[in-house]
Amino acid sequence: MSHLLSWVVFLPLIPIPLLFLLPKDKGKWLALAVTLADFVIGLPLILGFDRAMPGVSNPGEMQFVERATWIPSLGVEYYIGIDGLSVTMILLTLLIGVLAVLASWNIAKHEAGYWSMFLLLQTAMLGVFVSLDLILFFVFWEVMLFPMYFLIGIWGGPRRVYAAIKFFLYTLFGGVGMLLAFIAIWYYAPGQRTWDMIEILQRVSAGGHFNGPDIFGVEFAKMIFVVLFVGFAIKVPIFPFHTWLPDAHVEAPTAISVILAGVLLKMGTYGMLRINFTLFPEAFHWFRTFLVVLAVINIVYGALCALAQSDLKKMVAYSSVSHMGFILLGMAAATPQGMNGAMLQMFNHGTITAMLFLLVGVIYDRAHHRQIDGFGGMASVMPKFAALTSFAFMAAIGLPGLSGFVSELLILSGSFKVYQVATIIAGLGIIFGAGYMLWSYQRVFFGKVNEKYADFKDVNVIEVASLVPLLVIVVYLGIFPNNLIVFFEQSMNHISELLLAR
Amino acid sequence: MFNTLPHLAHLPAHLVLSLGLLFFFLGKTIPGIKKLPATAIFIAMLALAAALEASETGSHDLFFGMVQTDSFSRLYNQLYFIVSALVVVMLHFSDEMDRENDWENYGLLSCLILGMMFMTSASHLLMAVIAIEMVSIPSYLLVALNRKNPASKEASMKYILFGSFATGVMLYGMSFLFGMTGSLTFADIWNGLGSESVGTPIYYLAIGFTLAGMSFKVAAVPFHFWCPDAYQAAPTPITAFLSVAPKVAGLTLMMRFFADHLPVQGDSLTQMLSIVAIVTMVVGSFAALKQTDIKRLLAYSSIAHAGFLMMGVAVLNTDGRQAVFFYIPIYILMNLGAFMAIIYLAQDHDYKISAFNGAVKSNPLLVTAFAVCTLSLAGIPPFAGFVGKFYLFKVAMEKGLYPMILAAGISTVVSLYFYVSLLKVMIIDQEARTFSPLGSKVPVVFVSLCALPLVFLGLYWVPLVNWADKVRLFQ
Amino acid sequence: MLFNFGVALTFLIVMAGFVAGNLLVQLLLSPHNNYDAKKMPYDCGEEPVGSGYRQYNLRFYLVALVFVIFDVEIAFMYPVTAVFKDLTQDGWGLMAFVEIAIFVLILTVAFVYTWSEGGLDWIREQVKRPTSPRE
Repeated sequence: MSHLLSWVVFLPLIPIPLLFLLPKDKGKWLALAVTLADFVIGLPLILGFDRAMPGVSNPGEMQFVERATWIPSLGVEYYIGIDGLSVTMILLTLLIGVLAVLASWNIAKHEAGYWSMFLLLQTAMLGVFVSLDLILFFVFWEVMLFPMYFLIGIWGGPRRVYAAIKFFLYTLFGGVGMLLAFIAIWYYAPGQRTWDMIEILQRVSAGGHFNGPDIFGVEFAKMIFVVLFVGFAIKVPIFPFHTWLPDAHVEAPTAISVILAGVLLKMGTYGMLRINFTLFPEAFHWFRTFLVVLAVINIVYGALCALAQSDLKKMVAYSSVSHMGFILLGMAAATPQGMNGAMLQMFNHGTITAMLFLLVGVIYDRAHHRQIDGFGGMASVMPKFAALTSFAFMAAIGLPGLSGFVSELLILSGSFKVYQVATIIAGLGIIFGAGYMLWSYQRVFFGKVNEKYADFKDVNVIEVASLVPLLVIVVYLGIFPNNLIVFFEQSMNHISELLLAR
Repeated sequence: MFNTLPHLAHLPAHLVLSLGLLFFFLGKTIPGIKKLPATAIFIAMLALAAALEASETGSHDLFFGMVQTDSFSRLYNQLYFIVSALVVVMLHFSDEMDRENDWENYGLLSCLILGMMFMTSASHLLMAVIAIEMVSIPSYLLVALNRKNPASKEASMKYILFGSFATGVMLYGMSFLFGMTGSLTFADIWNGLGSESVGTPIYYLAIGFTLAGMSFKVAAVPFHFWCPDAYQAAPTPITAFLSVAPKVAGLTLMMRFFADHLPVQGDSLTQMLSIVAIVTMVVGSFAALKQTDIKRLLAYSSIAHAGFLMMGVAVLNTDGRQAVFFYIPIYILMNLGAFMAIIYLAQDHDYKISAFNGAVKSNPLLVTAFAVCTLSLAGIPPFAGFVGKFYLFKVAMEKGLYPMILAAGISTVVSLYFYVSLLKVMIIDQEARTFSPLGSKVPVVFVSLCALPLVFLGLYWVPLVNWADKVRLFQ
Repeated sequence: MLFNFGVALTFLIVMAGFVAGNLLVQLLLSPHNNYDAKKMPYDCGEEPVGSGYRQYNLRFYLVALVFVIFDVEIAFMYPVTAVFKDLTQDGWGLMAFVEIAIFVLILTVAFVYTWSEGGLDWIREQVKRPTSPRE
């Protein structure tokens, strides 16, 4: 159908008024129906995607483009489209959307409010990944903020208000910097002023330069690069801007943690690739070593923090930080393998970490606490659950045969060419990863059965339904990763070319 | 004198308001008139004045360079009428003002509006002083008329003292300007301050002191000290009115005052205005963090917003004026919506923030609309407040005023905290007492009607931009 | 320019010095005969009873306030009358009259309001107001 991409983005918004008319507990069925429908109409996007077109810096090669004037006096357009960089993210968002609905099946208070915020969030996330106009990108980025605040602040854990406001303020701080950087990019763009990301990228890759003045004594390109980087780094999150993540993840309800870790974190790295690194290649080179250092700190520090946690969800949150560090390492290396590995890791991390949070949610629903040492011997009480968890943990560690291994391999081999020391240290991070994962698994599932929890029910149908699709994907991509890589290969190779050319 | 009578033909709305002023003060003396509905007459007067303003065209220099009417003044005058009409609605649902005094209140408001109209049209320094006093003195009185809060008289006293001080400083600065240039007309002043006076201490002193009186009306730092006390103790509809209308009038006076500057003076003036804007934004945002009274918090928030609007004034070009005019209707909607929600929810005139705990349970629609207004005040997409801020950032970026942009960015982030804390109190906290709201549903409709355009304009703001285009040039 | 400021400064100093000098001379040369009766306020020979600091009725203030306003109005009218003859000869007579009449009229409006609202009544009827709850 025509305007397929707009339909995919805005479909979740349409049933929101209905939510307030339906009886209390029917809202979740409506949400499930909408997210499934969205996933289904998103499939033609994936299947109809032409994998041969890189599209990143060529406006003509973007696919499913829709363009309409929005604010003529400013030149802002409603301009959306996808290329290899965004198509995997769309797939991930649509998938995680459905699974998060299943994960929030037991929400009991203010359902209409919950689902309306949830669907608004879904639209905002999809919008970020398809926007090709700077202001449209920013609006979708910021629209995601206040639903997250309410979702964490109302339906979250004991310290939810603190976590929610911390998340909101931190991300807004990055967002304001981003807006100012966007205005500067528009104003000082090479050639005629435009908000069109792809157009500006095309001019920059053809040799154009931003003719901006020095800001506070720093060269324009470097200042804007750093400001944008900080904005996206807060989202990823990169040390030292990661402190909001453990609080937000721990206090958010399960489904929101899944969305946060599965999709929102990727928005940061997506933004870096789409706008930050590619538009300022010389600044990227100037910043590159520091970027690698930050990536390695993320990996190792995140892993060490995870090792020290006593709360299972916080441990998974820190493991998230660690895995995002790998993405950053691949991006900093900028070699084709590194880039492809980073993109694949973005997708894999989305699926694997989503699985981890869903599993933590299962045990939290039953025990109402997440202390690792508070459990014991759960493997004999909940065998199916134990099997699924072991599976997820192995995937997180990067066991060969599962998808995590492929992406980490690509990243490490891509970065070894350029930063040998960093790669070796990152390898240590993998060992730490195995450490905290296996140790926590042992403490929770093996050993003497904890009498308090001896009569816990095993995973029910809905929980299994939310986990199995991810399981299938993780296995499938572990054996046939190329089937996904072909979607973004051309684009990522092109980005690598753009970054390494200068 | 008679040759200035034709000038009055270009000021029909002003005439209507003057007659209204006379009517409201003298009408009470005539026995029969006292029984007429004052509110209806006031609204009818405003409507008539708005219609007359809308039918005017062209730019006129009136009363020997004292007053200038053009599209700039006409558009702002229409905004003042709209705000006044909305405040009259708010007056109905607040029992803080004695309804026996309606005639006087409307008379004072008429005088205020007339003063604001002259502030927007003034092109002579003395006219500016007269207009500022015409606005200030009725506001002193209106602030004191809160019969539910005994502190309102004290607040009014503070306001009077501070206002007189600011006016005195302003007159001193104006005397310097007269001494340097020999004229008090705006255009002649800038022509008289040639390149040899720019940058001298007396130049900064004169313009700075003159700016003092104007920033007093706008509640810009360091002339904002009256603002929290006056706003806290005044009757809430009057607070809402003060937070919008005189502030806007002060900004228009500033814009008109600085509009005819010579290019050689541009940098020094932008510097001065930027400093005021930066300090105002920062003080307004940071001081609001510690507030426990909602009206005081909104007072500091309006101070911060004045700082943001001064960003648009500081760039001293037509883009800035357009950005300011774009922001004003949005600001009016946000502020009036927020204040109406507070009037509706405040029980026993307890305006402590903790008194609003859990309001969402009993008033879901109202609190949702209030949330829209508040998030818009904070500048979060997709609400219109973000678009307004965007335009202000854009014009500042185009001028290259990076310190101001940095301060504005920091203020935005900081201000989000206290705006969201209001929402947290109303939505997340548990109810501490029962809300027995007023019987009528009209306030809920009012706030929702304020919130809806904010959502619409946040997504499609072209109509407002086109309307704002008309104030670019003084035509 | 600076010289003129210097002249003004000298003038100020001489002025202050003159006053101070006179007071100093008085302090040194005058006889000091202090007794209580000298310090009491003069009441035409009568002895004052009680303290002078008591609360006076607000009506005195209102009357005085209105008086001040109209006294200032009269003060503004004096210059007009002083040059009125010359103005008439120049043909501006009517305009001057209308202008000062408008000025008086504006103040008369306020006067009418005050009068009709009972601001000038010496004895006002007590209006029963519900007392506002003090916090």
